[in-house]
Amino acid sequence: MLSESNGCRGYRVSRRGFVGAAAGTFLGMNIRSLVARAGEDRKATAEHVILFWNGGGMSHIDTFDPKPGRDVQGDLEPIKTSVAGIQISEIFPELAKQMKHIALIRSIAGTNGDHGRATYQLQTSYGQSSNLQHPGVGSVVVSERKTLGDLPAYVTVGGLAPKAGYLGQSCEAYFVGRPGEKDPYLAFPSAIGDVRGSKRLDILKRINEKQAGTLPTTETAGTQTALNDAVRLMRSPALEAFEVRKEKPEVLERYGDSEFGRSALLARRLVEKGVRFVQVNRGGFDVHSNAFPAMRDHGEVMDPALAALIEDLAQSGLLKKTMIVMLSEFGRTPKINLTTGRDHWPSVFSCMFAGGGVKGGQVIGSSDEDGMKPKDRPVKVSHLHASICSALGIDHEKEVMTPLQRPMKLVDNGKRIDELFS
Amino acid sequence: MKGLLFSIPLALATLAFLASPALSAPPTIDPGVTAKKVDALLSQENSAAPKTLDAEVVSDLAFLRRLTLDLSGRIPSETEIQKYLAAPADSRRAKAIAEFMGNDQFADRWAVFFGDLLRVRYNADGGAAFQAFVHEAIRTNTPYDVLTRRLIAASGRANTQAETGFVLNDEADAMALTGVVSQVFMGVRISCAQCHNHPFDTWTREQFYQLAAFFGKTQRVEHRVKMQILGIFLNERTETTILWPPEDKAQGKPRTVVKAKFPFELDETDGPNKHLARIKELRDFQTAEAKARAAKAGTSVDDLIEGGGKVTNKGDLSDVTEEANAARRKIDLQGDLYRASELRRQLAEFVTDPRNRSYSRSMVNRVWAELMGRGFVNQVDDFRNDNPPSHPKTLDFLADEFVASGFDFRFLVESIVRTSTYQRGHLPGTIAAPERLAAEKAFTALPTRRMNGEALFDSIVVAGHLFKPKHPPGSNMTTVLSYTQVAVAVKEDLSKPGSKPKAGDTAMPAPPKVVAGAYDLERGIEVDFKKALKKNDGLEVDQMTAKSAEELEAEMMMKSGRMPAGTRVRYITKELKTIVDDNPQFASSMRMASPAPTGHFLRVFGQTDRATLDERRDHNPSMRQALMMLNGKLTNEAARVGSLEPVYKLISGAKADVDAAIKFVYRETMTREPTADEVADAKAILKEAATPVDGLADLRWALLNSNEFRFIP
Repeated sequence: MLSESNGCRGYRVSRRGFVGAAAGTFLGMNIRSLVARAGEDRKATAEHVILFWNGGGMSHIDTFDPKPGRDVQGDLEPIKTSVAGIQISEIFPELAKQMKHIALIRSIAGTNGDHGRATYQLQTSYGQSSNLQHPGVGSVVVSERKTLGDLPAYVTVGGLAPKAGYLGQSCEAYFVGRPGEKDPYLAFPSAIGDVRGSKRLDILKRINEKQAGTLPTTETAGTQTALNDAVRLMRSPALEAFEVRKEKPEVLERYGDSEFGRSALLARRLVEKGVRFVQVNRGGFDVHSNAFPAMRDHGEVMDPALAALIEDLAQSGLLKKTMIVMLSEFGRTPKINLTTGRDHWPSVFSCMFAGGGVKGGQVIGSSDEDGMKPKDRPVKVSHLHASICSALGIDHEKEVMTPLQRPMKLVDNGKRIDELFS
Repeated sequence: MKGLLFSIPLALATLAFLASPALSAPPTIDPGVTAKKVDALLSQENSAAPKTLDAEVVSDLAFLRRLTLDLSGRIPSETEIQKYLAAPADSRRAKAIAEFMGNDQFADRWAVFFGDLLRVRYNADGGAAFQAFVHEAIRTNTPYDVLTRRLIAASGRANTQAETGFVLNDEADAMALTGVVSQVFMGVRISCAQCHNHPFDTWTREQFYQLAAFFGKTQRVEHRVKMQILGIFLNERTETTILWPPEDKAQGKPRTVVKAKFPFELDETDGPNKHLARIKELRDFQTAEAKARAAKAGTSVDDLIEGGGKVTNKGDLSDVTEEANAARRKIDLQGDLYRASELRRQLAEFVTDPRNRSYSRSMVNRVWAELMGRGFVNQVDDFRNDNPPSHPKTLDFLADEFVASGFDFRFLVESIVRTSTYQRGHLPGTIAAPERLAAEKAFTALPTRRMNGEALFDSIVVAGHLFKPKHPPGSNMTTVLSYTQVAVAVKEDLSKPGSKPKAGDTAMPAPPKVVAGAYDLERGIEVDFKKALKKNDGLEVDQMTAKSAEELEAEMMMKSGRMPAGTRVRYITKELKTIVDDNPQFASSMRMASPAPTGHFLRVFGQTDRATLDERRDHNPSMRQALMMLNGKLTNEAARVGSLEPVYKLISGAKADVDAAIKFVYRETMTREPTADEVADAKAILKEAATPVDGLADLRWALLNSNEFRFIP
């Protein structure tokens, strides 16, 4: 049974809250006064999210939106999936077998063809601004939902997650460089060891107690909470989740002997221990030249991992409450360029959803015959975010106050994509 | 004519008008006198309100710790403590102020403050040079108005004209820069008025557009050859982009060019202490002095520019010749590539005009808040009518003196640290929050402040003697695992789609960044500021085209992973095992490339990535901070006792003196003597440990992790 503790805001120094409430503003602090909003919170269909972030702009035609028979199709053939009438690219043979769990959106209407700006928007729902740092969707989720278990609520693997912006640094993701790599910060250095380390903690406790009274408890309480949480994490059996290599060889093999495979496996293990939001980062999709061999390589790496993850979660029942999302900042030009590559194409692109209440075996929206523009059901980027929040029972229109006292919605005017859910 | 204009192109005109007699001595201003008046004004303004609780004056050693942290960004060393205590009790504080004001680390510490303020980003266009430029400006005490003018009016090439970093930071976007200039330099958040009239203030959308018009012709130019960016320039177009009405209101109707207009009031009346007359006198003196110097050196009057003129070191920002030459180069050689901006020059004059009270008040308020833990106006960049300053007379007095000093930044800092207000302590934790807040608002007690990340980092390094190796060579041999990306050319075989990649999933067309290993989150790249500022000749433009088109093409192909003969570059990850002498040594965090990478110690302890205007240091504790302090290399190596550090002789060998060692460690980490109780406790810790050396390390580790260490006394 997982214990519930505070969400990521547990460290907030209460005195600052007090000062903020009294004075309206306070130097440099994240005061969050919530503006109540009418409207009911939907019941959560998901408790966890695994977000695969494919950096660089993943070709929609070469993955989830093939255009058989058209010049734009290129070298990769479409294949049938386990759901009649739905075809995806040949680079995903195993994933195709899991189609009954998967919903594809083929009509995302992006607005930005620049990597930085588009990434910002796809990850935060907001346009980039020099005045304001908007939080990533993972930070939004962990700011609104309670932390489960001992592990950090939000973990990013193999790359950086977007910042938490005005939600404050405690809503930022816990960074894991490589799956399976032991985080040296989660244990006393080997030269010290547990016994001496624990002794040190006792000494620290005594010293802090002696100093008590000279500092306001409102200032020291947050530090103490942080310290307690750190020690709890260091001693938690849940840490075992990070040790991917403890899985049986055949399991490792199913996910693929790749960093991405181990990342997907780690994501599963983390979700099993209660982690709310896992972001798995992978780049290399910016294929301006020689796109097709590169996409085959991507398929080889991604296909077994994604398929095994969906299969395992479905088998354990966790897929019911774990939403899997795969996003990229934009698609790629349908027209193949002179170096057999594809360039940036934000006008229409695709993404994948599975689990957490998502109705599988369907395609939402479509692009036109050459994958140039949305044909029907254009989906705004913020609708994706609204849908993720909604699945977690989060009111995406709720407003929070920024440090500059500007009310901001959790998601930038998005609408839940109703047909995504069963 | 406006009273005080001294920018480069105007120098000539100004000189023609001013037939001022050469003065024999510069007008002087004494921070000690200013500090006393500030104290008097504060208590005068407080007397009108209900009496608040008074905190006691901090002890001598607590004062030293506070002062060292504020002026040098770290705790004092044992040597500094002993020197301080050796001075007569009635003058040691003043002496310490004088010493630390003149210390080199003053520039390091305040470069952190300016780095946040100006959002200095090492990785931005010309960021490295910009970081070095800002550091150098503080080191040479460039007057704040001179610095501001250079930042706003800059044109030229990123890196070469280091100050272009400020405008290029926001991609030279007019709307963004409008918000930046008003918020950074005037403490006013006008950016809300970009889209609508300001909700809680008087700013209108039209005023925003008028201010934006100063940036209407500002342009960021990328000089490209074959898709490769060879240089970033800050240029001035001939046409403006700022049109009225705004696009959303115009709805297809014709829009007209907005005339630039500075929306902030210029206060013509001189203050009670005649600050406008005094700065004029000072600047007249400086101009006359510069003229005399130029005459003596035989340089032409063209070479005259504004600014201090006190120091004439080569490389000095206020060096007359260099800047004038740079200005000439701009016109003659590179006129086509980047034109100087007349509009931004005008704006720079308006912003820094001594009559613009918003400008001087804003800086004074920021520095006051930095040193006292609270501003007269809070948040520091939110000046507006319904958020008035707590002590308007004190704020204005200090702002006027800052103007009269010629915007002398060190004068401002010294005036504040020499007040008796700065020597106030905190109220004990037992006092109820409302009373404590009332006292802190009145500055009869100061709020508790946490060290910022940089100060915490450097203080641990100082306490643990980690600036230099403290272990003998060869005593820390360790095997280190590292991962590196190696490029391998592979034949493409299109007949076999889906052939297994040889090494994991690393066969991507771009070399993935190598993820920082183990303890890299506490390391940093130290910036060689001198090198970053080394100016290339004006002819550098030619060198940019030195690479042939073929070479560029080849480079591009390498980058895209496509090689000519049907081969591709694959990157495979290699694990490397190396045995190294891991004798720990850390550089000052204040000289690192900033902001540090995400996840780095500094970032975990609140350093922002300085991307947007609303980012400010989050001083809330976090679990990640705790993990870093408990288990990080920095704290653990700082705690470990090395045989080359002074305390070693006290804890080991024939002359060991445990009491003395404990006291020594307390002084080095906490800047105070331990109580008898603490000594007894520490002795027990030493006895329990495997060896006294280990015990002392345990004690030091706990002290570094304690609350007392983190908070500025």
